[in-house]
Amino acid sequence: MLSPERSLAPPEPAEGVRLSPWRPPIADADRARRDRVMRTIVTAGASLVGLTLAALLVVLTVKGLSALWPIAPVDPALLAEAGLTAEESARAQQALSGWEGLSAGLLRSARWAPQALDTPSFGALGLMGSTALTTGLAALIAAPLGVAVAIYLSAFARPIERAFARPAIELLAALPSVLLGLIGVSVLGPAIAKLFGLPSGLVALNGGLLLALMALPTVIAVAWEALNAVPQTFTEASLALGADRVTTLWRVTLPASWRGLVAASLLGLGRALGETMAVLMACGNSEAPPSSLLSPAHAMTATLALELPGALRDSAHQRALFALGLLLLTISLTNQLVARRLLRPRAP
Amino acid sequence: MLFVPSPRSVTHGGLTLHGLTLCALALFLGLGCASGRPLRVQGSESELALIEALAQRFAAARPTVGVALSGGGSAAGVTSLIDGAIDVATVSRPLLPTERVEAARRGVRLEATPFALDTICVVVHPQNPVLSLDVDQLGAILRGETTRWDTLGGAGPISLYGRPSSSGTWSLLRERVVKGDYTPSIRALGGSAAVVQAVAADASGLGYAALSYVRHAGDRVRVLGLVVHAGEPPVDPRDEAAAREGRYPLTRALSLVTVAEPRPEAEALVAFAQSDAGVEMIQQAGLFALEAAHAEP
Amino acid sequence: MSHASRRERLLTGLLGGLTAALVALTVALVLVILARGLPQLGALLRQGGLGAAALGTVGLTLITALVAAPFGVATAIALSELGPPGRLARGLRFALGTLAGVPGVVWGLFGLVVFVQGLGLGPSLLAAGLTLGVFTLPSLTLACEQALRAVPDDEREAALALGATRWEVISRNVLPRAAPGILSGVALGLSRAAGETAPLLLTGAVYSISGPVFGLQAPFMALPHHVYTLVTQHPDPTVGEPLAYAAAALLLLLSLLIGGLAAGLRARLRLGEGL
Repeated sequence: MLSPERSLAPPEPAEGVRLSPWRPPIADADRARRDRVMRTIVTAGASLVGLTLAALLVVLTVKGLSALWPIAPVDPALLAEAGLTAEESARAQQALSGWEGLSAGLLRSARWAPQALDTPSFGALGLMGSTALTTGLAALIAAPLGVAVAIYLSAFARPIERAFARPAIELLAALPSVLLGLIGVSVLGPAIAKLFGLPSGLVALNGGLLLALMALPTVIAVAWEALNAVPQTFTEASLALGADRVTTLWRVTLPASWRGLVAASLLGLGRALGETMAVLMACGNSEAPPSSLLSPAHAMTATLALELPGALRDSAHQRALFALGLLLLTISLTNQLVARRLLRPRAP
Repeated sequence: MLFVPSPRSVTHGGLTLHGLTLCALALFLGLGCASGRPLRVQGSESELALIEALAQRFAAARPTVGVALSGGGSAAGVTSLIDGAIDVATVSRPLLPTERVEAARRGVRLEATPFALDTICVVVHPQNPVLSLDVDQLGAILRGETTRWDTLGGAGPISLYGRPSSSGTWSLLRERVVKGDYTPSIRALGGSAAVVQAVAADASGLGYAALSYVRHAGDRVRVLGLVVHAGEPPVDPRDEAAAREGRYPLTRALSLVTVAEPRPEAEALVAFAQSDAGVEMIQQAGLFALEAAHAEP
Repeated sequence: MSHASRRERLLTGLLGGLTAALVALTVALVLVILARGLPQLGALLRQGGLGAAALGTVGLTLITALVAAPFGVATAIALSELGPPGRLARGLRFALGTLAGVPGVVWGLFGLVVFVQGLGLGPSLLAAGLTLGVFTLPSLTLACEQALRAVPDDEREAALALGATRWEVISRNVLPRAAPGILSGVALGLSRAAGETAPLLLTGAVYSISGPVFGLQAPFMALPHHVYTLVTQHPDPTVGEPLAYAAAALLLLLSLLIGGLAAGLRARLRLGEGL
C-alpha cells in the first residue's frame, strides 16, 4: 500500500453477498439491543457523511450558478445617501450591478479584470490557460517519469531498492504544498532566472516543475499497482518463449496495463490541477494570460485563494469566483471519473 | 508477530484517545471563553508591519484584549468590515464609491480615522541611470504604452512589478497616475516588500512600493523622484515636507476604519494609534505622523 | 538470471537511474528545508509567532481528528461490514472515491459558504477545523475501509457461526485486527490535513496574533499558513525567508512524525500479512 489514493479503485464486491444473509436468532435481548443500537449509530454516521458529500456538490453548484442571475441595479436612493457625485454614481452602478453576460463572459473572454475601472471583466479563459499550461507541463513530466519509475520498481528493482524507494516516494507525497512553494520561490526561482536570463524566476515553468513533483507520487503509486495487476502468467509465458525483459515489457506488460497507466497519468494530472499554494507562490500572478512557459501565470486555484477574501458577499466578483470554483470542481471531477472508469477491473 | 490488540484494549484505546481529544478541545473552548472576543484587524499590506507593532504594544498594555491581524489588501479589509467579520480595517487609500454604496446597502456606516501619512515610492535598480520621471511618463509606463527604457535614458525593456487589485496602493496609483488600466504584463506581487526585493534583483525593473519598505531596503533600490509640473525639480517621496505640503503626488493617509459605533476595544486601538506611543512608532517606521497633514482622509 | 542482454542492462540502468535521481531529489529537498530551517527555530520562537502557529496547527489537527476519524471509521464500517452491497453503498463508495480528489481550495469554498457564513461561525478555528475535517473525510474513509476489508472473512464467518451479533463480530474480531491499518489511515489523513493551507486562507487564518487569542471562535494562526505569509507578507524578505524555512522545517518534522507513524503501522501490517 503506497498511499490511500491507491484505494481509489477498491475491489468491487461480487454480485452475491460476501457473507450468507441468514443469521441465527439472538437469544440474548441485551446483546441484540446493543447490536441494533450500534448498527444504527454506524449507519447514521455513514449517512451524515453521504449527506456532507452531497452538500458539497449542491452548495458549489448553487453558488456557482448564481453567476447566471443578473444582479439588480443599485437603488438610486442608496447612491444619494452615500453621498456620491454623478460620475462616481455611474461608475459604482456599473461596477456593482449586473450585466447579462456574466455567465457567458466567463467562458468567452480571456480577460480577468474584476476591478477594472470602466469595464470589469470576468473572462476565465486566461486563467484556464494558465492552469492548463502549468498542469500540462506537470503531466508531461510526471507521467513518463512516474511510469518509468513504476516500471523499474515493479519489474527490475531488487528488494532492497524497493525498500528504499517506497518510503522516499511516500515522503515526497507527504510534502505539503507550501513547502514546495517555498522552494520554488527561494531556490527554483533564482535558478530559472539565471538560466534563462529572465528578470524574475516566478514563471509558469517554476510552477509546472513543482506540480510535477507533487504529481509524481500519485502517478507512481497507481502505475505500480497497474503493472503489478498484470497476471504473472503473461510475463512468464513471454519469457518462456524466449523474449528478453525489454520485449516482454514493451509487448506484453505495457499493452496489458495501458489503461491503468493512462489512469495513473490522469490522476497525477488531477493532483496537479488542484494544487493551490505552489502555483500561488511561484508563478507570478500577473493578469495577462501567459504567452509561454517563461511568462508569469495565474492559475484558477491561485485566483480563488487570492481574491475570495477580498470579494464582497454576493457581489459580482464573488459570484464570478464561485463560478470559477464550480468550473474547477467540474474539471476535477470529470478527470477523476475518467480515470476511475479506466481503472475499473475488467474480466481478463 | 503481528500486533493484534485485544478487543478491550481497542475499546479502551479508542475511548482514551477520544477522551483526551475532547478534553483538549474543551480546554481550547474554555480558554476562548475566558479570554473574550479578540479584536480582529485586517487590511492594507503596506501598513502591516506598523500595525503589527502597534497591535503588540496595544495588547501588551491591555492583558485581557487579544488582537488578530491579517493582511489581504485594503479592499479585503473594507469588505470584511462591511460583512461584519472584523472590527477594524486598515486602509491605505480613501474609501471607494463602490464600498460606500455597499456599506449603505447593508445599513453599515463607516468611519475612517487617518492616523499617519505615507508615500508610494517608485523604485528602480541602483544601476539604472534614470533618476526621475514625469508623472505622465510614469502613467504611460504603467499603462503599457512605454515598454522600454531607451526613451527615458536607460536601455532595455522595462519589467514592471506591482500589487494585486485588492491592494490600496494599486488602487491609489491607478486613480492618480495610471488613470486607466494597468498593462496586463505587470507582475502582481504579494506585498511592497516583495516588490522591493524583485526590483533590487532586476536591472530593468520598475516597481511601486510603500515608503517604510523602501526605507528598509536602503540602497538596494533607487527611489525615483517625480516631476509633477514640467520644469520643476523632481520631488522625493522621502521628503517629509513635500509629503505634508502635498507636493509629492503619491502621498496618502493611512486610516483605521471602523463602523459608526464600534466596540470599545476598537475605539481604544484607534485612540492608541493617535497617542504619543503610536506617534513614536509611526516615526520609527519611517512614516509621518498625522499632525498637520494635507492629504485627504 | 544474469545473462541479461545489452539493451536490458541499458534499460535497467536508465530506469534505475531515474528512480535513484527521484529518491535523491526527495532527500535533497527534505535536507535543504531542515538545514535552512532548523538553525532559525530560535529566531522564529522569539520574533516570528511560532507559538501561536504551532498551537493553531495542533488545535486544527485535533478538530480534524474529532470530525474525520469517528465519521470516517463509522462509514468504513458501514460500507465494509453492514449488509449486502446495495446501490446506496456502491454510490457512497463511488462518491468517496471521486470526491477524494477535490482540490483543497474547493473545500475551502465549501467551508466558507457553509461553516463561516451559513452556520455563522465566522472566520474561526472551528470553521477551519470543520473544513479540514470534511476535506480529510473521503481519503480517510477509503483507507479505513481498505484496512477493514483486508481482514479475512473466515474470522467473521466463524464468529457468526458461534452466535455473535454483527456488532460483536465487528468490535471483537474485525476492528482489533484492522486497528493498525485504521490508525495508519487516520494518521495519514491527519498529516495531509496538517499541511493544507488553501482552506485556511478562506476560513480565518491570520498573519499575526498579539495577546490572548485562543478559542474555537477566534481567528488563529497555523504553521503552513505561516510559511506562506512569511514568504509573501513579511515586511523584510531577508528576515522573512529564513523564518519561513524555520516554520517549514517544523511543519516537515510534524508531517514526518505522523507520516512515519502511519508508515510504521503499515509496515507492521505488511509483515503480518506474510503470516
